[in-house]
Amino acid sequence: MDLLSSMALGLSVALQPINLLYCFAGVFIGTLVGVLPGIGPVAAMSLLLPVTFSAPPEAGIIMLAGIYYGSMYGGSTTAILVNIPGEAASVVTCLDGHQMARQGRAGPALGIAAMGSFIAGTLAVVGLMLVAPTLARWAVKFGPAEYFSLMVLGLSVLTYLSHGSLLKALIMACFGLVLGLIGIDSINAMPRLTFDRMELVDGVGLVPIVMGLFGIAEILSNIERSISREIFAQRITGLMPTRRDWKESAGPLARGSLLGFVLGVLPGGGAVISSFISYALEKRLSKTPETFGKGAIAGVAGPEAANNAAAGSGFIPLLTLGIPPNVVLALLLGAFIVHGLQPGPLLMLQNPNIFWGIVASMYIGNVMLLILNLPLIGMWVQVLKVPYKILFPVIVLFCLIGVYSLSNSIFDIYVMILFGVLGYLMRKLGYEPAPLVLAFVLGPMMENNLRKALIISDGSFWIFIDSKLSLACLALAALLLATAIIPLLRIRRAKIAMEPG
Amino acid sequence: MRIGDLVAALVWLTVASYVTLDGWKMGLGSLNDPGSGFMFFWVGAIMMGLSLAALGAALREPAGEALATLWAGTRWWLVPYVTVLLALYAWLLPTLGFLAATMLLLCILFKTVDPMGWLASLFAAVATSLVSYVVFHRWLGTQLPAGQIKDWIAPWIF
Repeated sequence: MDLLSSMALGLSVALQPINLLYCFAGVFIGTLVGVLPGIGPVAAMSLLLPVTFSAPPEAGIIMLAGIYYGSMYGGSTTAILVNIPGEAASVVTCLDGHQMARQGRAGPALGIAAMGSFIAGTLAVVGLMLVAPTLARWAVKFGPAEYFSLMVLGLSVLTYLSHGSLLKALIMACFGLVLGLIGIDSINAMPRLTFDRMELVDGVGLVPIVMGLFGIAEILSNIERSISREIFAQRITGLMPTRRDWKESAGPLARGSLLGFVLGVLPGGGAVISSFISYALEKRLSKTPETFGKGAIAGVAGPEAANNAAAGSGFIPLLTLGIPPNVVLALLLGAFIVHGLQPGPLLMLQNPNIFWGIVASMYIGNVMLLILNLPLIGMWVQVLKVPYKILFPVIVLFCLIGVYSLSNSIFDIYVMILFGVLGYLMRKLGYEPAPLVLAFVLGPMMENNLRKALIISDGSFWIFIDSKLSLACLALAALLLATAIIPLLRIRRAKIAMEPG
Repeated sequence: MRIGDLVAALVWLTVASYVTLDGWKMGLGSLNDPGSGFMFFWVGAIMMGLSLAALGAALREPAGEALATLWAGTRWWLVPYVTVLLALYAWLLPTLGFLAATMLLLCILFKTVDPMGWLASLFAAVATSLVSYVVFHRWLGTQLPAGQIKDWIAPWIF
């Protein structure tokens, strides 16, 4: 099937009324959770996962994907108007975006953020469309050794880029692996660490863990300190950037899109790191670097393009290899599995309507986001005015409904509360939840591939070295972890360290 | 942070030791046919090594401030308070059902954390519970527990 006919198939799926409705719901909710600090795409996707059960699989996945890239758009609104990033990927947008707002240029800042996001998001979908089929054909040849090594690399990169101590991030990754392996052994059906509880036979649920670590922990952290927000009060006019703004933004938009696309594909990379690197790159390339941090439009355009491009290209490893590059897409992998689908090289062959339907829906979703974001800025500002004392009980309620409705289990609520408290304490003591969650998702796949590789090679570890790809991945992972120990490089790591989410 | 790091490292060391031991008990198998405990054992062993390194790093840190400084100037009591409320909610949910349990939880949260007036709290709790019930249960078809209140009340009414 050539590219054009594939895209035509995708559009015929994405343009079905039910899929359009789910796409709209996804990008709308995504923008909303992006706007609201304290609830992110992970929590929103966990909450709405059960809602997709009654829908066709493609509609459910289209909605969840829409929440992810929609939240990238919404995050910039809060960053510019309130100086609080709605999303971790919008942290750098605060620096110049809010300064522009203070100088009376909130309109062009919001405008360039929305249009830059649209351009980068669309380019990323084009890239995804071109790269994914080739990568999927290549990935069919991958064996268990290559998959295992790729997952080790992904986990190492995420651990390396985690905020704070590498040692703590590695402990989190190990703990996540252990949690992921709880339940029946997929090879010989032996129960493992189930403590004779029936609820643990199928393992611990991803959603209760994610909702606990990201939703409840965030709420517990927020309620212990009084939150006050200074919302930009002036009337926002003139959303269209001027010709000069466009001239200053063209280069950053192009570079941000390319950078975000490349970094988004890499395991462990993603929207947050690409926005930080884009900002640093634009500052370095600028003829007036002193204007950065004081309202430079390039400081908004570059990072916004980068985080949206990364959000789009992150689907490439997920859809072609079945390996999620970050926590949000790990949750989307869970959604695929719940719907009886296995992302990977065969998805495109076995379910072309779903693969191309998702790709086409991302085009449509980007257009919807552009239409949603600019005229509805006033509404998002009103949403931001809802006091936290009203917002947090509602978020708690959403978490409770989301977790319970997944398998109608009270036990899952207790698991969520337990991980909420654990996540709160982890934040206090400088432990990052992101490596834990990614390791939790990758754990069963890693174990399966490791055991299969050893069985195939008759117990020889040379299988991981014989394959060039596997060797390259393991060497890169070892190099990354080794460099984190060298003092000079440790400082560099600290500069690019991020808070994934 | 020293005491906090020490305590955390000890907790992780305990968890890692348990996992390693359990992995050993499950059976490591052989290299050409790894057993159920193979991955547990090795991940647990690596985690033990990392926890020991974290413990060593914490011991090398200067004494620093007490653990309590992490909560200085915060409303820390709200954290256990909300946690207990959530656990009670989970406990009462099968008995009271979604609507009654949610109204109760939300009313207490609205009234006691960043307090609102009684009437406002009650109104916000009832409205939020009803709207979420209609949206999630009626429109989106989400299964929510009905509770046993109806069963208790029915004999009195009929």
